[in-house]
Amino acid sequence: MDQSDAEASQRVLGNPDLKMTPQIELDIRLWRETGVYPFPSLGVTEQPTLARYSNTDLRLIHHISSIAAQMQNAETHQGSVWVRRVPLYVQFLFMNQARDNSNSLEDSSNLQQTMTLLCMHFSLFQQATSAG
Amino acid sequence: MHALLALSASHLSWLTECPATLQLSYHHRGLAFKGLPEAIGSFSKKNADAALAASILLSWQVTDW
Repeated sequence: MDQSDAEASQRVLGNPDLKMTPQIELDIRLWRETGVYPFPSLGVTEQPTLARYSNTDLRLIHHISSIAAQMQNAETHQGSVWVRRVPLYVQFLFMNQARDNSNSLEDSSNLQQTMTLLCMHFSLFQQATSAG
Repeated sequence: MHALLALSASHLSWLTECPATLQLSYHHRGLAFKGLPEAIGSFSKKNADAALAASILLSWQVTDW
């Protein structure tokens, strides 16, 4: 998230109620200090540069991650779309942000791999919509 | 990332009934809807997964269909 986004978020009127608790504040502080994602059970291995995110942003990521972790714990057979997909989406979005930070050159030469990815995406989308 | 932040803020606003939290979700949703066409316009292996994830997360938040 760049500076303009951070400034824009300041334009939200009033203080959003984020259901912050001392434990969540501690989780976020430790996350920022150590770089260790507080929900290891979700298997999210790659992370963006945390310094780019406000505490509000991290609280929002923490909230959605905590729901995913709770549902994962409650539902051992991984039957719902939410439980199967949300950790994956968090991983995808973290990876995308991490790549934005790395300034690596884009590899657009392998069309076949891109088409394979697209087919996987359509398959995933069909599963998500049919099961949801 | 804004699509995920919007979903989270939207759920929190439902829990808290706080107008500022709802406004925060609208803010992130607006940024996500602005960023998604840009990502699709420069679609590549690098951003394909994130574009798909953002599309699905935003579709979950649409209430008028």
